[in-house]
Amino acid sequence: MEFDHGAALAACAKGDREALRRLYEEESRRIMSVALRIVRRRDLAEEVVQETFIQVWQKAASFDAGLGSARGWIFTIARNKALNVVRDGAREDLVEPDVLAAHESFEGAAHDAVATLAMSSRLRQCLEAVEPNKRDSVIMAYVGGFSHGEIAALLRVPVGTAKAWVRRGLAALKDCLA
Amino acid sequence: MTTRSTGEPAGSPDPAIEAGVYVLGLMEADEARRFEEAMARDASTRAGVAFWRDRLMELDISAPPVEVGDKVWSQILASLDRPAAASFVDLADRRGSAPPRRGTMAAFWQGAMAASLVALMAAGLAYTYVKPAPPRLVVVLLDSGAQPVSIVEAVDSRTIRIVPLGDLSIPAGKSLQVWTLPTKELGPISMGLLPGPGTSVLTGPALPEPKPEQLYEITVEPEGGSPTGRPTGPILGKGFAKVPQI
Repeated sequence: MEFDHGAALAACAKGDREALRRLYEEESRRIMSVALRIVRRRDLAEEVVQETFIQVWQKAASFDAGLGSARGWIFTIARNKALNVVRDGAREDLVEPDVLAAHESFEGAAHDAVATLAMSSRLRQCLEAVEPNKRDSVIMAYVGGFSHGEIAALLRVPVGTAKAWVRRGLAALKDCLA
Repeated sequence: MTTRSTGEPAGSPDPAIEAGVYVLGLMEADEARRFEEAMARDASTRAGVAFWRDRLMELDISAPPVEVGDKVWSQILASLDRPAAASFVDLADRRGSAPPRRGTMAAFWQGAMAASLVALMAAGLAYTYVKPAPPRLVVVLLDSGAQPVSIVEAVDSRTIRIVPLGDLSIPAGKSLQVWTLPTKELGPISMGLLPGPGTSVLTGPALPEPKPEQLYEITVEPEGGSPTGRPTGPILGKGFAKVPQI
Protein backbone atom coordinates (compact mmCIF):
# COMPACT_ATOMS: atom_id res chain seq x y z
CA MET A 1 0.00 0.00 0.00
CA GLU A 2 1.19 3.49 -0.84
CA PHE A 3 2.60 5.38 2.15
CA ASP A 4 0.42 8.39 3.03
CA HIS A 5 2.80 11.27 3.70
CA GLY A 6 0.00 13.76 4.31
CA ALA A 7 -1.54 11.56 6.99
CA ALA A 8 1.87 11.05 8.61
CA LEU A 9 2.42 14.83 8.75
CA ALA A 10 -1.03 15.39 10.24
CA ALA A 11 -0.28 12.80 12.93
CA CYS A 12 3.13 14.41 13.64
CA ALA A 13 1.39 17.76 14.05
CA LYS A 14 -0.70 16.12 16.80
CA GLY A 15 2.42 14.87 18.57
CA ASP A 16 2.34 11.25 17.36
CA ARG A 17 5.97 10.07 17.54
CA GLU A 18 5.08 6.72 16.05
CA ALA A 19 4.05 8.58 12.88
CA LEU A 20 7.43 10.32 12.77
CA ARG A 21 9.14 6.93 13.17
CA ARG A 22 7.16 5.46 10.28
CA LEU A 23 8.03 8.47 8.16
CA TYR A 24 11.68 8.01 9.11
CA GLU A 25 11.59 4.35 8.13
CA GLU A 26 9.92 5.23 4.87
CA GLU A 27 12.09 8.15 3.76
CA SER A 28 15.32 8.49 5.77
CA ARG A 29 17.43 6.41 3.36
CA ARG A 30 16.25 8.38 0.36
CA ILE A 31 16.80 11.67 2.16
CA MET A 32 20.29 10.43 3.07
CA SER A 33 20.93 9.78 -0.61
CA VAL A 34 19.64 13.21 -1.67
CA ALA A 35 21.72 14.91 1.06
CA LEU A 36 24.84 12.94 0.16
CA ARG A 37 24.63 14.07 -3.46
CA ILE A 38 24.81 17.65 -2.20
CA VAL A 39 27.08 17.60 0.87
CA ARG A 40 29.36 14.69 -0.21
CA ARG A 41 30.26 13.65 3.34
CA ARG A 42 28.47 10.92 5.30
CA ASP A 43 28.73 12.74 8.64
CA LEU A 44 27.26 15.92 7.15
CA ALA A 45 24.55 13.98 5.31
CA GLU A 46 23.50 12.28 8.55
CA GLU A 47 23.36 15.70 10.18
CA VAL A 48 21.02 16.79 7.37
CA VAL A 49 18.78 13.73 7.92
CA GLN A 50 18.64 14.49 11.62
CA GLU A 51 17.84 18.19 11.18
CA THR A 52 15.25 17.39 8.50
CA PHE A 53 13.21 15.09 10.75
CA ILE A 54 13.46 17.50 13.68
CA GLN A 55 12.10 20.26 11.48
CA VAL A 56 9.40 18.04 9.99
CA TRP A 57 8.29 17.32 13.55
CA GLN A 58 8.36 20.95 14.65
CA LYS A 59 6.66 22.38 11.56
CA ALA A 60 4.29 19.60 10.55
CA ALA A 61 1.37 21.81 11.58
CA SER A 62 2.42 24.53 9.17
CA PHE A 63 2.58 22.26 6.11
CA ASP A 64 0.75 24.05 3.28
CA ALA A 65 -0.66 21.80 0.57
CA GLY A 66 -0.89 24.86 -1.68
CA LEU A 67 2.89 24.70 -2.11
CA GLY A 68 3.03 21.09 -3.27
CA SER A 69 2.61 17.58 -1.91
CA ALA A 70 3.45 16.47 1.63
CA ARG A 71 6.24 14.32 0.29
CA GLY A 72 7.62 17.23 -1.73
CA TRP A 73 7.56 19.42 1.40
CA ILE A 74 9.72 16.90 3.28
CA PHE A 75 12.27 16.69 0.48
CA THR A 76 12.26 20.49 0.19
CA ILE A 77 13.25 20.71 3.86
CA ALA A 78 15.99 18.14 3.30
CA ARG A 79 17.37 19.93 0.24
CA ASN A 80 17.33 23.29 2.09
CA LYS A 81 19.18 21.76 5.04
CA ALA A 82 21.77 20.29 2.70
CA LEU A 83 22.11 23.59 0.84
CA ASN A 84 22.66 25.38 4.17
CA VAL A 85 25.54 23.00 4.91
CA VAL A 86 27.07 23.64 1.51
CA ARG A 87 26.67 27.40 1.79
CA ASP A 88 28.41 27.19 5.18
CA GLY A 89 31.44 26.20 3.16
CA ALA A 90 31.77 22.64 4.40
CA ARG A 91 32.10 21.46 0.80
CA GLU A 92 34.21 24.49 -0.10
CA ASP A 93 37.32 22.47 -0.86
CA LEU A 94 35.55 20.88 -3.82
CA VAL A 95 35.10 24.16 -5.59
CA GLU A 96 38.56 25.54 -6.21
CA PRO A 97 41.39 23.01 -6.26
CA ASP A 98 39.28 20.00 -7.15
CA VAL A 99 37.08 21.44 -9.86
CA LEU A 100 37.94 18.65 -12.22
CA ALA A 101 37.31 15.87 -9.74
CA ALA A 102 34.04 17.49 -8.72
CA HIS A 103 33.01 17.74 -12.33
CA GLU A 104 33.78 14.10 -13.04
CA SER A 105 32.02 12.86 -9.95
CA PHE A 106 29.15 15.19 -10.72
CA GLU A 107 28.71 14.01 -14.29
CA GLY A 108 28.31 10.49 -12.98
CA ALA A 109 25.80 11.64 -10.39
CA ALA A 110 23.79 13.71 -12.88
CA HIS A 111 23.71 10.86 -15.35
CA ASP A 112 22.66 8.46 -12.60
CA ALA A 113 19.98 10.86 -11.37
CA VAL A 114 18.31 10.94 -14.78
CA ALA A 115 18.97 7.26 -15.42
CA THR A 116 17.22 6.20 -12.21
CA LEU A 117 14.00 7.84 -13.36
CA ALA A 118 11.57 5.33 -14.80
CA MET A 119 11.69 5.01 -18.59
CA SER A 120 8.03 5.94 -18.63
CA SER A 121 8.63 9.06 -16.55
CA ARG A 122 7.44 12.23 -18.22
CA LEU A 123 10.19 14.17 -16.39
CA ARG A 124 12.80 11.82 -17.84
CA GLN A 125 11.46 12.17 -21.37
CA CYS A 126 11.38 15.95 -21.00
CA LEU A 127 14.87 16.14 -19.47
CA GLU A 128 16.24 14.05 -22.30
CA ALA A 129 14.67 16.40 -24.81
CA VAL A 130 16.32 19.53 -23.34
CA GLU A 131 19.61 20.69 -24.86
CA PRO A 132 22.47 19.09 -22.84
CA ASN A 133 24.08 22.26 -21.41
CA LYS A 134 20.74 23.56 -20.24
CA ARG A 135 19.61 20.22 -18.87
CA ASP A 136 22.93 19.77 -17.03
CA SER A 137 22.68 23.25 -15.50
CA VAL A 138 19.24 22.45 -14.08
CA ILE A 139 20.30 19.01 -12.81
CA MET A 140 23.50 20.38 -11.29
CA ALA A 141 21.47 22.89 -9.31
CA TYR A 142 18.77 20.46 -8.21
CA VAL A 143 20.68 17.22 -7.71
CA GLY A 144 24.14 18.54 -6.85
CA GLY A 145 23.05 21.68 -5.02
CA PHE A 146 25.46 23.81 -7.02
CA SER A 147 25.16 27.61 -7.16
CA HIS A 148 25.19 29.66 -10.37
CA GLY A 149 28.86 30.40 -9.76
CA GLU A 150 29.74 26.74 -9.22
CA ILE A 151 27.80 25.65 -12.31
CA ALA A 152 29.65 28.30 -14.33
CA ALA A 153 33.02 27.10 -12.97
CA LEU A 154 32.27 23.43 -13.60
CA LEU A 155 30.95 24.01 -17.13
CA ARG A 156 33.69 26.60 -17.79
CA VAL A 157 31.36 29.38 -18.90
CA PRO A 158 30.68 32.90 -17.54
CA VAL A 159 28.18 33.12 -14.68
CA GLY A 160 25.74 35.01 -16.93
CA THR A 161 25.74 32.09 -19.34
CA ALA A 162 25.10 29.61 -16.54
CA LYS A 163 22.19 31.73 -15.30
CA ALA A 164 20.71 31.90 -18.80
CA TRP A 165 21.14 28.14 -19.32
CA VAL A 166 19.31 27.38 -16.09
CA ARG A 167 16.42 29.62 -17.10
CA ARG A 168 16.22 28.28 -20.65
CA GLY A 169 16.42 24.73 -19.32
CA LEU A 170 13.53 25.46 -16.98
CA ALA A 171 11.52 27.10 -19.78
CA ALA A 172 11.99 24.08 -22.06
CA LEU A 173 11.10 21.69 -19.22
CA LYS A 174 8.02 23.66 -18.33
CA ASP A 175 6.73 23.64 -21.90
CA CYS A 176 7.32 19.91 -22.10
CA LEU A 177 5.80 19.06 -18.70
CA ALA A 178 2.80 21.38 -18.85
CA MET B 1 16.99 27.04 -30.37
CA THR B 2 19.15 30.15 -30.23
CA THR B 3 22.18 30.50 -28.02
CA ARG B 4 23.44 33.93 -27.13
CA SER B 5 27.12 33.85 -26.24
CA THR B 6 26.75 36.53 -23.57
CA GLY B 7 23.91 34.56 -22.05
CA GLU B 8 22.46 37.30 -19.87
CA PRO B 9 19.31 36.41 -17.94
CA ALA B 10 16.08 37.43 -19.60
CA GLY B 11 15.08 41.06 -19.16
CA SER B 12 11.56 40.57 -17.82
CA PRO B 13 11.55 37.47 -15.65
CA ASP B 14 8.78 34.95 -16.27
CA PRO B 15 7.17 34.22 -12.88
CA ALA B 16 6.88 30.51 -13.69
CA ILE B 17 10.59 30.33 -14.46
CA GLU B 18 11.50 32.37 -11.37
CA ALA B 19 9.51 29.85 -9.31
CA GLY B 20 11.76 27.16 -10.80
CA VAL B 21 14.90 29.13 -9.97
CA TYR B 22 13.61 29.44 -6.42
CA VAL B 23 12.88 25.72 -6.12
CA LEU B 24 16.35 24.90 -7.48
CA GLY B 25 17.77 26.90 -4.57
CA LEU B 26 19.58 29.35 -6.83
CA MET B 27 18.30 32.64 -5.44
CA GLU B 28 20.46 34.85 -3.28
CA ALA B 29 19.10 35.33 0.26
CA ASP B 30 17.49 38.74 -0.39
CA GLU B 31 16.08 37.62 -3.73
CA ALA B 32 14.60 34.52 -2.07
CA ARG B 33 13.09 36.69 0.65
CA ARG B 34 11.38 38.93 -1.90
CA PHE B 35 10.14 35.87 -3.74
CA GLU B 36 8.70 34.40 -0.54
CA GLU B 37 6.91 37.66 0.14
CA ALA B 38 5.35 37.36 -3.31
CA MET B 39 4.47 33.74 -2.50
CA ALA B 40 2.64 34.85 0.63
CA ARG B 41 0.57 37.36 -1.38
CA ASP B 42 -0.02 35.61 -4.64
CA ALA B 43 -1.68 32.25 -5.31
CA SER B 44 -0.23 31.91 -8.82
CA THR B 45 3.30 32.27 -7.42
CA ARG B 46 2.50 29.48 -4.95
CA ALA B 47 1.12 27.36 -7.76
CA GLY B 48 4.37 27.91 -9.68
CA VAL B 49 6.38 26.66 -6.71
CA ALA B 50 4.08 23.65 -6.28
CA PHE B 51 4.48 22.80 -9.98
CA TRP B 52 8.26 22.62 -9.78
CA ARG B 53 8.44 20.95 -6.38
CA ASP B 54 6.13 18.15 -7.39
CA ARG B 55 7.74 17.61 -10.80
CA LEU B 56 11.39 17.77 -9.70
CA MET B 57 10.71 15.67 -6.60
CA GLU B 58 10.86 12.66 -8.89
CA LEU B 59 14.63 13.11 -8.93
CA ASP B 60 14.64 12.85 -5.12
CA ILE B 61 12.37 9.86 -4.73
CA SER B 62 14.22 7.88 -7.39
CA ALA B 63 17.52 8.38 -5.51
CA PRO B 64 18.98 4.98 -4.59
CA PRO B 65 18.50 4.53 -0.81
CA VAL B 66 21.61 4.92 1.37
CA GLU B 67 21.75 3.43 4.88
CA VAL B 68 21.69 5.94 7.75
CA GLY B 69 23.73 5.35 10.92
CA ASP B 70 21.76 3.90 13.84
CA LYS B 71 22.53 6.81 16.10
CA VAL B 72 20.70 9.34 13.90
CA TRP B 73 17.22 8.21 14.94
CA SER B 74 18.12 8.17 18.62
CA GLN B 75 19.52 11.70 18.28
CA ILE B 76 16.29 12.83 16.64
CA LEU B 77 14.29 11.33 19.49
CA ALA B 78 16.57 12.98 22.04
CA SER B 79 16.07 16.36 20.33
CA LEU B 80 12.29 16.03 20.52
CA ASP B 81 12.64 15.80 24.29
CA ARG B 82 14.75 18.92 24.41
CA PRO B 83 12.99 22.16 23.45
CA ALA B 84 16.37 23.91 23.08
CA ALA B 85 16.77 22.06 19.80
CA ALA B 86 14.51 24.67 18.23
CA SER B 87 17.18 27.31 18.56
CA PHE B 88 19.68 25.12 16.75
CA VAL B 89 17.42 24.39 13.82
CA ASP B 90 16.35 28.00 13.51
CA LEU B 91 19.88 29.35 13.57
CA ALA B 92 20.51 27.33 10.45
CA ASP B 93 17.23 28.47 8.91
CA ARG B 94 17.83 32.10 9.51
CA ARG B 95 21.01 32.02 7.50
CA GLY B 96 19.24 30.23 4.66
CA SER B 97 16.63 32.46 3.20
CA ALA B 98 13.46 33.90 4.54
CA PRO B 99 12.77 35.41 7.92
CA PRO B 100 10.05 33.47 9.71
CA ARG B 101 6.64 34.92 9.02
CA ARG B 102 4.31 32.56 10.73
CA GLY B 103 3.04 33.38 14.18
CA THR B 104 4.03 29.95 15.45
CA MET B 105 7.66 30.90 14.85
CA ALA B 106 7.61 33.62 17.46
CA ALA B 107 7.95 31.14 20.32
CA PHE B 108 11.00 29.58 18.69
CA TRP B 109 12.60 32.96 18.34
CA GLN B 110 11.99 33.87 21.93
CA GLY B 111 13.48 30.54 22.95
CA ALA B 112 16.49 31.06 20.74
CA MET B 113 17.08 34.55 22.05
CA ALA B 114 16.76 33.45 25.65
CA ALA B 115 19.23 30.63 25.01
CA SER B 116 21.83 32.99 23.55
CA LEU B 117 21.34 35.42 26.39
CA VAL B 118 22.05 32.71 28.94
CA ALA B 119 25.12 31.66 26.97
CA LEU B 120 26.37 35.24 26.79
CA MET B 121 25.86 35.71 30.51
CA ALA B 122 27.76 32.51 31.19
CA ALA B 123 30.50 33.79 28.91
CA GLY B 124 30.62 37.07 30.78
CA LEU B 125 31.05 35.33 34.12
CA ALA B 126 33.84 33.12 32.85
CA TYR B 127 35.70 36.00 31.27
CA THR B 128 35.73 38.21 34.33
CA TYR B 129 38.69 36.17 35.52
CA VAL B 130 40.58 35.57 32.34
CA LYS B 131 40.35 38.58 30.11
CA PRO B 132 40.40 42.34 30.40
CA ALA B 133 38.73 43.59 27.18
CA PRO B 134 35.23 42.71 25.93
CA PRO B 135 35.18 40.30 22.99
CA ARG B 136 34.28 41.65 19.57
CA LEU B 137 32.31 38.55 18.69
CA VAL B 138 31.10 35.56 20.62
CA VAL B 139 30.19 32.20 19.14
CA VAL B 140 28.41 29.43 21.00
CA LEU B 141 29.37 26.14 19.36
CA LEU B 142 26.59 23.56 19.50
CA ASP B 143 26.91 19.86 18.84
CA SER B 144 24.55 17.99 16.52
CA GLY B 145 22.13 17.54 19.42
CA ALA B 146 22.06 21.33 19.98
CA GLN B 147 24.02 21.07 23.22
CA PRO B 148 26.61 23.82 23.82
CA VAL B 149 30.14 22.49 23.47
CA SER B 150 32.18 25.63 23.88
CA ILE B 151 32.29 29.37 23.50
CA VAL B 152 34.65 30.88 20.98
CA GLU B 153 35.44 34.50 21.45
CA ALA B 154 37.08 36.55 18.70
CA VAL B 155 39.56 38.89 20.41
CA ASP B 156 40.89 40.39 17.20
CA SER B 157 41.29 39.37 13.56
CA ARG B 158 43.64 36.50 14.39
CA THR B 159 43.23 35.68 18.07
CA ILE B 160 40.43 33.58 19.54
CA ARG B 161 39.76 32.29 23.01
CA ILE B 162 37.98 28.96 23.50
CA VAL B 163 36.08 28.23 26.69
CA PRO B 164 34.79 24.65 26.93
CA LEU B 165 31.18 24.25 28.08
CA GLY B 166 30.95 20.51 27.45
CA ASP B 167 33.44 17.70 27.13
CA LEU B 168 36.35 18.91 25.02
CA SER B 169 38.80 16.22 26.06
CA ILE B 170 41.07 15.21 23.22
CA PRO B 171 40.65 11.58 22.08
CA ALA B 172 43.85 9.46 22.05
CA GLY B 173 45.68 9.71 18.75
CA LYS B 174 43.52 12.64 17.63
CA SER B 175 43.60 16.42 17.65
CA LEU B 176 40.77 18.91 18.00
CA GLN B 177 41.09 21.58 15.36
CA VAL B 178 39.32 24.95 15.30
CA TRP B 179 38.18 26.38 11.97
CA THR B 180 36.53 29.50 10.69
CA LEU B 181 35.06 30.53 7.36
CA PRO B 182 35.99 34.22 6.88
CA THR B 183 34.67 34.31 3.29
CA LYS B 184 33.43 31.73 0.81
CA GLU B 185 36.38 32.52 -1.42
CA LEU B 186 38.94 31.80 1.32
CA GLY B 187 37.18 28.63 2.39
CA PRO B 188 37.63 27.12 5.85
CA ILE B 189 40.78 28.35 7.62
CA SER B 190 42.44 26.57 10.54
CA MET B 191 42.80 28.68 13.68
CA GLY B 192 44.91 25.95 15.27
CA LEU B 193 44.74 22.86 17.48
CA LEU B 194 43.35 22.88 21.00
CA PRO B 195 46.31 22.37 23.34
CA GLY B 196 44.27 20.82 26.16
CA PRO B 197 40.80 20.45 27.64
CA GLY B 198 40.73 23.84 29.45
CA THR B 199 40.34 27.43 28.25
CA SER B 200 42.84 28.18 25.51
CA VAL B 201 43.93 31.07 23.34
CA LEU B 202 44.80 30.39 19.70
CA THR B 203 46.46 32.67 17.19
CA GLY B 204 45.62 31.86 13.58
CA PRO B 205 46.86 33.36 10.31
CA ALA B 206 46.17 37.00 9.44
CA LEU B 207 42.52 37.06 8.33
CA PRO B 208 39.85 39.61 7.48
CA GLU B 209 38.21 41.17 10.53
CA PRO B 210 35.72 38.58 11.87
CA LYS B 211 32.11 39.41 11.06
CA PRO B 212 28.76 38.63 12.66
CA GLU B 213 27.37 35.30 11.39
CA GLN B 214 30.86 34.04 10.55
CA LEU B 215 31.02 30.26 10.95
CA TYR B 216 33.29 28.65 13.54
CA GLU B 217 33.61 24.93 14.14
CA ILE B 218 35.72 22.35 15.93
CA THR B 219 36.45 19.04 14.20
CA VAL B 220 38.17 15.85 15.28
CA GLU B 221 41.26 15.38 13.12
CA PRO B 222 44.24 13.00 13.03
CA GLU B 223 46.92 13.85 15.59
CA GLY B 224 48.75 17.00 14.49
CA GLY B 225 45.80 18.35 12.53
CA SER B 226 44.00 17.77 9.24
CA PRO B 227 46.34 16.36 6.59
CA THR B 228 44.56 18.30 3.84
CA GLY B 229 44.42 21.74 5.47
CA ARG B 230 40.61 21.50 5.34
CA PRO B 231 38.23 19.95 7.86
CA THR B 232 38.04 16.19 7.28
CA GLY B 233 36.74 14.71 10.54
CA PRO B 234 33.45 14.74 12.40
CA ILE B 235 32.19 18.11 13.64
CA LEU B 236 32.27 18.38 17.43
CA GLY B 237 30.51 21.72 17.49
CA LYS B 238 29.69 24.63 15.25
CA GLY B 239 28.10 28.05 15.52
CA PHE B 240 27.79 31.50 14.04
CA ALA B 241 29.38 34.63 15.50
CA LYS B 242 27.22 37.15 17.33
CA VAL B 243 28.06 40.64 18.52
CA PRO B 244 27.86 40.64 22.33
CA GLN B 245 25.47 43.32 23.60
CA ILE B 246 27.70 44.54 26.39
